[in-house]
Amino acid sequence: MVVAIANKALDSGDAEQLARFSGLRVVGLVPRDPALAAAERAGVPLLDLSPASPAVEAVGSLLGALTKEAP
Amino acid sequence: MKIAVVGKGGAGKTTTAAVLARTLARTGQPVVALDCDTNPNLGLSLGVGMDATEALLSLRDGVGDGVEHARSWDDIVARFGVDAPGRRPPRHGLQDRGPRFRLPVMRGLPEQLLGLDIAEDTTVVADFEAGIGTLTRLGETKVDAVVVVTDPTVKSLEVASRAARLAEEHTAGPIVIVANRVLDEADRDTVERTLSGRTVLVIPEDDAIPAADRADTAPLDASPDSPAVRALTGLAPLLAGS
Repeated sequence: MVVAIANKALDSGDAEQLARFSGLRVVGLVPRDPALAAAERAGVPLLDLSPASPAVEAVGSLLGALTKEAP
Repeated sequence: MKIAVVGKGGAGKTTTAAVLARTLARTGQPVVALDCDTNPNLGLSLGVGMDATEALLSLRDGVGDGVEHARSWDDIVARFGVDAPGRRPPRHGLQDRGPRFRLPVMRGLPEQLLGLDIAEDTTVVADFEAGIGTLTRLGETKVDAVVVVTDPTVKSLEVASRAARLAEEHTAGPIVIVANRVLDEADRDTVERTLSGRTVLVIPEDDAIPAADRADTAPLDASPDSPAVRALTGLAPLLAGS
């Protein structure tokens, strides 16, 4: 199974563009998140700095999406 | 002149290399853009478009063969280069568009190609593969300048620090740090503190760059007056003047 995740996505248009270019099914969308920029600057895991940030929540929901896709 | 553009993946190397190559080409000097990445997209940032960039992808093996069989650097560029768009700015404020220039972009490995005999008046802007692997494989090959691209994140700065130290073994010329995505004074301070004593060119965070990437266009074409592109055009004079 090969699927795609749209990272740093601004909107659903980014996911559509990824699907069009890659030909893959896009099963998740991780939004561009200022909390990540802050964590990268601080050199600490995003999960520690901002556990409730949109990017963390989106990545957390990937497992469910992948499980659903798995044959 | 051979210019190596190095840094961590995602730091903005390709955008920096593309704006540098086209800025230099506008002065009328011969410039060749060399995409050293296994996953090449320098063509997109130069404005050659998706199809031509994809075509470059299939040339990797061809360039390898070309090194064995071709007679010269010029021969390789003629066989494998794809022209990037662009014109020299018109003189005296004329409305006419300036004359076209040639800016071939091609793929290849710097350790194979940069050791070849390249004409003195030609500038090669080589967009190295992410990380510092290529620098460690350059062996005795020397370049005339190294541009180390970073953003103000801890990981990117760490790679930049190592790259700048390694660069000293491969160039007697300038080593310039390009600090991309600088949001504020704190970012600027972080970069300058981490790489103290180096020449640093600060590029502000600018939504025009991801917007150009999303539209498959060269930032220099899509948003020539945006803050990041304007700042990046300052790199060529900095390299020449160092």
